[in-house]
Amino acid sequence: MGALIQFKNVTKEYAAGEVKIRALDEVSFEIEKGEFVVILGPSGAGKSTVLNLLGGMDTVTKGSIIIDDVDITGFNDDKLTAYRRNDVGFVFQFYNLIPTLTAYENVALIQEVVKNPLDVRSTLASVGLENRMHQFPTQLSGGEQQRVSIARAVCKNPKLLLCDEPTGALDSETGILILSLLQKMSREHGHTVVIVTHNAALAPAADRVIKMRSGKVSEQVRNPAPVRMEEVNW
Amino acid sequence: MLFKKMLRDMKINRTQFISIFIMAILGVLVLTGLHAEWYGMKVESDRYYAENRLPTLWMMGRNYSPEDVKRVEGLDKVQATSRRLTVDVETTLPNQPVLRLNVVEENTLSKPHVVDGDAFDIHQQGIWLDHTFADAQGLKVGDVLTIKAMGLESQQTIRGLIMHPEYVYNVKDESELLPHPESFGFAYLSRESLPQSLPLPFNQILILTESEKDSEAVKSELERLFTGNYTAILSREDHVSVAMMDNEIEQNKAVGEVFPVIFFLIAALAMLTTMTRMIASQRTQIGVLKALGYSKRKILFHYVSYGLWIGLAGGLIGLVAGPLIIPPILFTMQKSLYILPNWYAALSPVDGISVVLAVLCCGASCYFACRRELTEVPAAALRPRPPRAGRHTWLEKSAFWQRMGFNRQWNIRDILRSKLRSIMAAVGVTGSMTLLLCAFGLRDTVSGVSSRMYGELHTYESRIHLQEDISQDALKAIEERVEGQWIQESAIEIAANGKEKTATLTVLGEGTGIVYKDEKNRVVELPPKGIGLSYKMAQVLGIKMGDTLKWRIIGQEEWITSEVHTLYRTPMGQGITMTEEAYKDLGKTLVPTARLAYKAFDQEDGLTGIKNVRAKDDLIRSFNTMLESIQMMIFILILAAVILGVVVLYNLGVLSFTERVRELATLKVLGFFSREIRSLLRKQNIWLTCLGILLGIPGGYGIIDFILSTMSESIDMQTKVTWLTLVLCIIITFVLSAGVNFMLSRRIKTIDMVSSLKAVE
Repeated sequence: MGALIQFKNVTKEYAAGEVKIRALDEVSFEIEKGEFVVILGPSGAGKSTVLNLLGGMDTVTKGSIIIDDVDITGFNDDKLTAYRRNDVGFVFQFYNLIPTLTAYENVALIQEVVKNPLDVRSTLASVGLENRMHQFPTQLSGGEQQRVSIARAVCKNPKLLLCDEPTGALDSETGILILSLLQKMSREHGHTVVIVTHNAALAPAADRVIKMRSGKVSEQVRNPAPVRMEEVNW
Repeated sequence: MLFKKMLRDMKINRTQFISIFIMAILGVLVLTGLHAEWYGMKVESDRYYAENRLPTLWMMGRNYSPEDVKRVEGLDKVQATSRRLTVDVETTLPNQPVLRLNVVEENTLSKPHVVDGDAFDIHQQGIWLDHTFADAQGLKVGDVLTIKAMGLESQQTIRGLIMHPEYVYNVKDESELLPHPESFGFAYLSRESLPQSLPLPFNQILILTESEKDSEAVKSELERLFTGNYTAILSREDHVSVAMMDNEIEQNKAVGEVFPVIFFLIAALAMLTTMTRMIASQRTQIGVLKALGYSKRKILFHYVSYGLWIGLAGGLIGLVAGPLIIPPILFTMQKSLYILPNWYAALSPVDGISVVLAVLCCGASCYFACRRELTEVPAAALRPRPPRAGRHTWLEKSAFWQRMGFNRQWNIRDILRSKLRSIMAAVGVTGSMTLLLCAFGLRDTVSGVSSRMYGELHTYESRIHLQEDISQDALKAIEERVEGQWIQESAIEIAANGKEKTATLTVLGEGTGIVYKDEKNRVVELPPKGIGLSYKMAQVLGIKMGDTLKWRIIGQEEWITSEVHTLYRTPMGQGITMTEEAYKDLGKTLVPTARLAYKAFDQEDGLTGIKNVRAKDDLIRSFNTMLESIQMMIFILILAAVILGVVVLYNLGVLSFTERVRELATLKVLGFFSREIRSLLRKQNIWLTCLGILLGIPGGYGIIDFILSTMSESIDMQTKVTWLTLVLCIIITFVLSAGVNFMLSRRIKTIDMVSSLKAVE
């Protein structure tokens, strides 16, 4: 049994017209179960590509990705969908809630696709929204919307919780709240959380930091004693 | 620079622009095409009538003298007069056709139009012959024709072949449904061709009044002046040929005016929403332009020009293509019935207006959409419009809501949240359902007319028309040999509520040849006293059961007052019907004009006095030929309805799809299978399609009713849509709608989750 996530020599190329752009170049790393991981790097470094590949939203050009001992690189559309459905929770920069559904319904949506979801009410309570469950997204603040989105991701009890710049659209105070929530999810419920960000200040709070530059992993750091998110110096 | 931007924007959004383009073309094309057809006929017939100086009044009588003419000329508003002798003569041609011979004193009114041979000249010897008649008889210019007129046989050289404004619809009389050039034709004979010693009993005075409107006034003057000295005074609307042509134009106008307007409205509506949403999607760019310092006016102008160009280009193409494509198709039908010197499509100012409307529709929707975006400060415009808030609906309060499951909740909310989009989707379906039902229903209705007329109502097998001078012995012989029913049909005038209409009087002897039914399709008996009035005529005159009206047979002076005892509905032959008994009650006797034979009748030896025999099949065929041009028109409409339906539905579908890409991408990321998302969209589509169809059914019926009500006064059609048609229309609409949905939902697979979720927009 290896690590939960194994990224092996992954190369990803995009064809932009005539030219090929190499977004990832022989990227390799491992992530252990239950880790709170931050992928750091400037824009264009390929960190989002890593996340998309991890989440089964995109396919690799070369190399392999092994999740829980299963190689997902050969998956077809249906298998990828099933993988997203059962194993991955997403949190996006722009929340991407369904505007026509209330907070509660946005989370309950998961019940439609997953066999054994967590209880919707208690999940929403765990992100501190027990009193605002029946509001529509537009009636919630940005931070609240992001919490709904976290609840939605967590509710399916995924193997992996992937967050793409989850604080990108929020002010720093709200951002810290959100990040602490994610850290708490990892610590208390044992979720494996991967956060993509360009904010280096988050690094001290992570179990593992993967730094990326120009499509390559430039540095990997194991952090034996991560600090609590609230103590991070912004 | 901005022009370049426009061209590129059009390229990027080509589906939308192409569909707007097509809708603009179609909307204008159908409108102008159908319009140009009847308008062309109207312009040409008006021109023909004016150029050949068609009279506005015909006074028929016996032997009018030059003094009579002077008296007519003395009347106010009379512009010109001319005496004419018109008489039906026999020829030595096989089949014994009837030739209606005209001899004129001078060629000033009602002039023939020569298509071959010499110009018509009253001072030249010879005969000028109806060219359709000549074709049917195999005669050409230079041939010699033997005619038997006024007791003498004479040989006449054919000098020319002609058309005539009085014979646009070339029938002998009202009882003939269709022109039969093999048995009837007309000719003009010059005065010179007849022996000078022969006195000519001019039996018609042709009168041209200063305008057609004056003819009624002059007519009543004539009636006063010539009391007892005329058999009939016809105005243009009483003249068979003129009336038939007008009728045809009216019918074409009825269908050609209502339908395309609805068509145009639907196209306009679709153009409007498409444009609005197109502009809304350019919100950020509007913000950028504004931030760059472009003036509001310049930006407005830029976006309005999108609509203007497309609308103008589409409209102009439609304007040119419509009259080029549609009228020639319809004219092929018309040409077999009507004889006009020229057939052309004519554009009227209305057609220009339709282009202007198409341009305005596109332009205005751009203008308003753009202005809405422009009211924001640049900073706000640069960010996407905040999503519209969801709202709790009354539905959710019910316990029912929780049990509905996500699919239904999502769909209901989605429909309610984007009301406009949902309404437009439903309206698109309603529109195509309405058009289809209207077109197919009209087809049913029109073809139902002949089966109603000759299947349900007229149950006899053939109609034996009698000669006017038939002897009593001959009548007796026919009565004994042919099982059937006597019928008298005469042209009458009806006056009631200040209105005067020409109509048909039908007097029926004992028998069962014709069944009468009321508007609820129940069989009614004709009363032994009083009269039965046709439903349409009652409507036109504003008369109810039990009211009285005045009528008289044309050519007679005595007005008869009768009480309406029965109302019956008949597709053709609007007027009064009564039993022989009731007719006797008025002190009159039935003078049969035809015998309705219960069994198929073959001309038997020994029976005389028979003018012609029309078997039922002939009647049905004639009847259907008459309705052919409408059928053709309906076919064009169906085709156009299907195309428009596809374009509108596809267009609305594409728009609502692109608007929802982000939501759909989210569902995809969350792990919904494509097929699950498709089923979600399909369900919404089915709901809206059902709603649209439900609304479209009364819409279709309503429009058919409306078109029928604007049709001519002589035809009474009842809206009739068979179940099969209804089901067919529903299926076609469903297939169109579902097909479009299917094509679009295939795109779900190709939604790029990454980019649709990342992009700010």
